[in-house]
Amino acid sequence: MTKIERGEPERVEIFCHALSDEVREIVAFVKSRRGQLTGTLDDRQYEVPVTDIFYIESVDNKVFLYTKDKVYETKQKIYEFESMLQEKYFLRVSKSMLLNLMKVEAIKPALNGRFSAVLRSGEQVIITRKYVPALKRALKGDFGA
Amino acid sequence: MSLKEFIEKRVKLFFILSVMILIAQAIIGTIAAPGKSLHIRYIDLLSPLYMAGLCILPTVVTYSRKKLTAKQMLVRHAIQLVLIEGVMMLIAFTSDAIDSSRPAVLLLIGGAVLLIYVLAVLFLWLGQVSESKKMTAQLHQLQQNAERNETD
Repeated sequence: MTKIERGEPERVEIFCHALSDEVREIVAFVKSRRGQLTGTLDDRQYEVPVTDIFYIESVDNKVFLYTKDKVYETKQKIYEFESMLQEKYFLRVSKSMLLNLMKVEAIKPALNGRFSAVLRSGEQVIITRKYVPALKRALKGDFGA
Repeated sequence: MSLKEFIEKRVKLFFILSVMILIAQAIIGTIAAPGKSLHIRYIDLLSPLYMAGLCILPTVVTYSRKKLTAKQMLVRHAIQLVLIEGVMMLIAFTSDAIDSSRPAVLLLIGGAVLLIYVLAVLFLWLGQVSESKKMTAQLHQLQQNAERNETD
């Protein structure tokens, strides 16, 4: 760590032997702190602003970032994003989904004691009963486990 | 749904059913035997409670650790309703206080069970609607606070 002058841009450099999962995790963390996540779409990599992401979902061992009209694949795991994006108001609402609470328009009751979140895109996602207590705590500002 | 959540929901349903069975008994009695006074033992005052308890038992068919689809849930609710109707008919045929020889009485009981079932589902649904409205209000407050923090 080197302290730099105020005018100089802050940067992080990583020196590694191989681009392992741990390194990718560190890179993703740094990017998320900057407010961006890396996603792949049509074999091209994009820096996706966290504030544009509606939810992150794991489907068949692949993780996808959903924005209003695009879906990006990412190498990160859902659990890695969970703690990383907590302060960006992302919350786990089912076993396979992290929801950006800033993109939720309303919460409505669904069948079988569950709730559904109506997103600002008009899409609805299910909040399973197990995660409702954590959601209630988060709505009161407590994002802890 | 976990077993704990399922039990919590059943306890809530038990109290809703107890009240509604008591009301149904009064209404059915007034229709089937108007003007007739009741001579009951104190223990009989508990009948809405044990009837509600017996009606709760068939609700076990709606319990599942796995997520059920809307269609699966509707089928299970239909089975549950048939079982509850069966329980109430069994009570009607075995109880001395109920004149099960009169088809009108059985029809009233069957209708009351259906009505109570629909009302119980409705009350639980309304509870969830009110809970979701409260959560939506808290969500909007959280979003406003977050936006305010960003602009500061």
